[in-house]
Amino acid sequence: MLNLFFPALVFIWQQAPGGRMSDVSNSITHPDISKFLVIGALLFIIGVAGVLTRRNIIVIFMSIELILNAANINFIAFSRYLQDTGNANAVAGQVFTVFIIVVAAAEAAIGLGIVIALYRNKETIWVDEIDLLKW
Amino acid sequence: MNLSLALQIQNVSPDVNLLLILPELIVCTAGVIVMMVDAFARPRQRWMTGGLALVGLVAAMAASFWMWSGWAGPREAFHGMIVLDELRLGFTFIALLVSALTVLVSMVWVEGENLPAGEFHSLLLFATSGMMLMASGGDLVIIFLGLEILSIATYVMAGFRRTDLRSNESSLKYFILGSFSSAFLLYGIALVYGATATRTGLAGTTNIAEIANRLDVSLYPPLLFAGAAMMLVGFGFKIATAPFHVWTPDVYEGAPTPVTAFMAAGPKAAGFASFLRVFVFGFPFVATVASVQGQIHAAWLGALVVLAIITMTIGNVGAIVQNNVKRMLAYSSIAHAGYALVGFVAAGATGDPVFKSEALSSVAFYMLTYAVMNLGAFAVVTLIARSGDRRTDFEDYNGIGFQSPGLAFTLSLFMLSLLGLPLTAGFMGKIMVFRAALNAGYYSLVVIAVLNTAISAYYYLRLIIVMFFRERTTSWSAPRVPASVIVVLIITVLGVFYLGLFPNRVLDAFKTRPPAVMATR
Amino acid sequence: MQQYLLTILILTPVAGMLALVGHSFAPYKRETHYRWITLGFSVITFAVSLLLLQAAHTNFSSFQFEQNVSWINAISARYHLGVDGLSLWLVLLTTLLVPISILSSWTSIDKRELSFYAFMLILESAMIGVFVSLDLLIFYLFFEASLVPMFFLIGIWGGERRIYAAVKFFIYTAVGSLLMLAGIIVLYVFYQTFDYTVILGAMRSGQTISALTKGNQTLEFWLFLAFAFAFFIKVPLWPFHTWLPDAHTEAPTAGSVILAGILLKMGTYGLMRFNLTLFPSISRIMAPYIIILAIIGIIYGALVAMVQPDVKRLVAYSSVSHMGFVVLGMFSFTEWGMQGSLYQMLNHGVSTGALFLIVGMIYERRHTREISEFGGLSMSMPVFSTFFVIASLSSIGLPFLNGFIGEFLIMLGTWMTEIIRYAWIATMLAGTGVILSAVYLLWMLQRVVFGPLKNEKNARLTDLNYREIGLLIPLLILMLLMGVYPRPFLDLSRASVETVRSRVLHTESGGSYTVERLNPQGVSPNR
Repeated sequence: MLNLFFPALVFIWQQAPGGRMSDVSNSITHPDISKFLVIGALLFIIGVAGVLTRRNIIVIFMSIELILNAANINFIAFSRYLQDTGNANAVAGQVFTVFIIVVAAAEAAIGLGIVIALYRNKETIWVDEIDLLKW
Repeated sequence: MNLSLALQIQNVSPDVNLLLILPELIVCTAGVIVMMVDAFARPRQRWMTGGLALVGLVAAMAASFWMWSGWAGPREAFHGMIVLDELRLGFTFIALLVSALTVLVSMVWVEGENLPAGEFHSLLLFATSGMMLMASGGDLVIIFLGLEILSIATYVMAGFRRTDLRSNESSLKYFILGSFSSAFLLYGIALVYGATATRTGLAGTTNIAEIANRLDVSLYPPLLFAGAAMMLVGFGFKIATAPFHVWTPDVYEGAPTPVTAFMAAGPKAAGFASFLRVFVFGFPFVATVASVQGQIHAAWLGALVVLAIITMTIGNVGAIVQNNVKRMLAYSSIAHAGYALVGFVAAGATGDPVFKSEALSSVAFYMLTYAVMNLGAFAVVTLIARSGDRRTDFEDYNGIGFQSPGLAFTLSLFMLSLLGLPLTAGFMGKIMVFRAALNAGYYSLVVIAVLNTAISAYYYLRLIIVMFFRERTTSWSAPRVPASVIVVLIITVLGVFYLGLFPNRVLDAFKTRPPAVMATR
Repeated sequence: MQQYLLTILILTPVAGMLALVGHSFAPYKRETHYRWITLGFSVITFAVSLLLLQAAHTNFSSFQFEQNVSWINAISARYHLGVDGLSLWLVLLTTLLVPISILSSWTSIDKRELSFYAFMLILESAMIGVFVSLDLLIFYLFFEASLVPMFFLIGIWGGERRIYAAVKFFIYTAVGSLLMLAGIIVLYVFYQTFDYTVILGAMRSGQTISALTKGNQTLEFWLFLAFAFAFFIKVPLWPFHTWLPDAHTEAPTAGSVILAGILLKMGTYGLMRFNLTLFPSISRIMAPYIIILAIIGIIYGALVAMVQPDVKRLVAYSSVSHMGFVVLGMFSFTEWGMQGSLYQMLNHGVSTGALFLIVGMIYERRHTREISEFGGLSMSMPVFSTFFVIASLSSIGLPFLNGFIGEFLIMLGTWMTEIIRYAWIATMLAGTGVILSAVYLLWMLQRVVFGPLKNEKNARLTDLNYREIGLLIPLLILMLLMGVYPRPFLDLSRASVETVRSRVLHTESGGSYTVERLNPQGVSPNR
């Protein structure tokens, strides 16, 4: 599986800004798509790290939301930068984002509902203490 | 530019064909009706909701049979978002069957547990519509939405016994890992969407058939690899393949037993449906290995072979040491996902439409057999567990063989079928999958699968041994078997024998009839 | 009618099983009704199986009563049945032994009768199915299906260590047969059919596996092993025999009879039917090694039997020894040896079956099988002792009893074989096995039947009743008949055995399934 990820890392590395200061300022005023991708990737990594390391359920939820937003940024960036005029499909990414926002809202509602139900039975929001069923 | 885009959109015909999503519409409508009836009926009349749900499911099944036999219209609609092929119909049938059987199992159970029946049944119907959308989606948007509809409903169902801490915990774990995997999948979709923008100036796409066409002209091939990997991980979580299986035993153990039955059979099958569609059709086999498409195909296929081996082995070895029947069945469901992956590998490894169709139908057939025997087994486990799911340990089954012979013998039949003994559905499913894999040349994979089957004999037999060969020391009163559960048991027992002895019709139905029609559309 | 006969034969016990289950819902049911229903159906099955003999004029040189219809189109699996000289007598043995063992359970099974008899009937139909199927998938299906009822029979109605014995039995045989399943599917991948006769035809016409794999014998070798492993465990050949003493000892009497009488024959039958004909060249290469294992089994089984304190365990180990003879004769690849091997399968079924029945009868009376508990039974139970002695002598191979013919033919075949270098040594060693069998059986008789009546409890034992005599009589008649007039048995199997023999020895010349009368000189006429 790692062989699938590796080319992407190389690709992102290649997109990083070069050494010259003017390049940097230019890239801030006229950002190209790679900046958005890098931000998306960072959000994604932060989110994954949060899910894996945090022990507070609410923080875990927030981390999952971060991953979803990473995907949103990617969708919008791709949709904005790569559209062609002849194809209605160009806005598909932005439409997808709207769907994701709705789904994320529903998911958050359900998730909090589950936490509340759990909290009523056992007053904790720490996943370490939710160990009735062995992992 | 915006103006021209708007004009463009106006010119495109909407391509709406409601008949093509008729089964999904029926199930959704039934779900809404059930919810309404539940809201407005008197408490005494709430039992009607189960009947209404059944009516909706049967109507949807009739609609999908009609599409199976007599569909003459276009085979896709909504701009390729919905497709109609045997893969979809087969998995739609599985979803409806699983759901109908779950309704029957839960009808009396939900009353006995003092749970809100209407909510349960409407959630079940919505989950079913999600599964059906996952099978019918020809576009990643639909697949993602179907997955979320399914998942959100299932999270709630897993935690349906609100006052029971185990149920809460199961629900929470399922939620965290489920939404985590959905997020992975989504990020993968986003990357694939961007990567399928072409060097010729086309924007990205989420249409699966279109993705396959663009692999070699992709603007960002590396993102394609990463996207495929993320989706692999996301789907891997959903169908519980081995490094991503850790949630399965806990969730299956803690969830109410009828819900576990549903989760093990339904969402797993639906996950396979979209997993198959995305990878077999989205990143298809190509003869030229050097191209991007060839490389990506080789990469995911290789990963899948490894996943299949690990999944089978961990599932079977894990099941041996369990002392709880539901946990044992959870591990067994992991192992069965591994066997089905063997067929998946075969489907992915060939470009020949006939072989591909055979391999795809073998996976669908395998999931059907698994659904039938698994639901039967869980129906019995539900009865024996009694209210509150308290009696699910192996000790609770001690010596009940001749106290409740009917239940015990049917449960043994399902165990033998899960083990894959001849005359039963499980055997036929395994034969189909193994044959597909051997046709594709995966000899060692099949040998590993066969050895795993031998391991699995140990824990499936253990339940039979406990039931029949041991004496009961504590008192036992046979559970009352409601009529609806008897119907389930009759259907599943007959199904096990029917699929094991006369699988012809089903196999033919699952196979693509004119091989040219399927292709990648 | 002709082509449905075998299907009827398979389905009659199933119908009986359904009748039993149906009867359990009847308001006037009684536990005693079950055994009558079962007996009725198994006798009907036996009567139907006798109809097979009406094709005797064909000498069963080719498959008779063939039924060949499509079963699963998608994988071109066929429902293909037929009997020839190899399977004919085994089918008859099955249908004979089942009613006898049901009669033997008449009073000894006093709990859960419905399930017991239902399992017996399922077992019977699976066993018949094994011997008559000509499609590899169907064969595997019945082969595995016979496992489950036996597993239940041992596990529910067995002795103290029944769970251990049942699990051991199941796991051993299931592992073996799963490997065979893999082998079957590999054959399917090569020939795109499961039909045994079609595969054999393709092989005869030159499309052997080694030809399909471009002269490489490795795959063929592994396929041979995959099949052989399943059958070796079932036979059981030393060193795969360890499940057998446990299973035999713990099983109820009827289970032991069926297990020894028929289930073990599935292994030798499978070897002869499938291994020798599908992989002839590998069979020739492997024959010396298998003969060595068989001889080790003969002597080892006899030696271990000698020191057993338990009568039933003794008989179980004698099975290991006797089945070694069967394998030995088969892999001598001479006409005498292979005919004797087939004949010995029947002998073993009859005489060991009788021994298990007799042991069961004494166990029912005394609830022990320890040899040291007995002595002087001939005084308190003269009829019983007579049967016991005759059955033991038949098992030893006394002339004019059936065992003699089989063992004599096998030793003759081994003496004349060309497949191993020092055939006379093998014959000598096998002869030791015969002597040893006389030693352990006679010694056991001396301690159990003869001598003074030491134990008080043995003095008051009642002799056999009419039911018990009645169920032993057919076996006794068979022992005598097969001992003095073996010709009808050997004649009907000769042509089929010769087909297998010519296939395995003269692979290239084919050996079609129509065979002229051969000279009885064994391998080479000029010898």
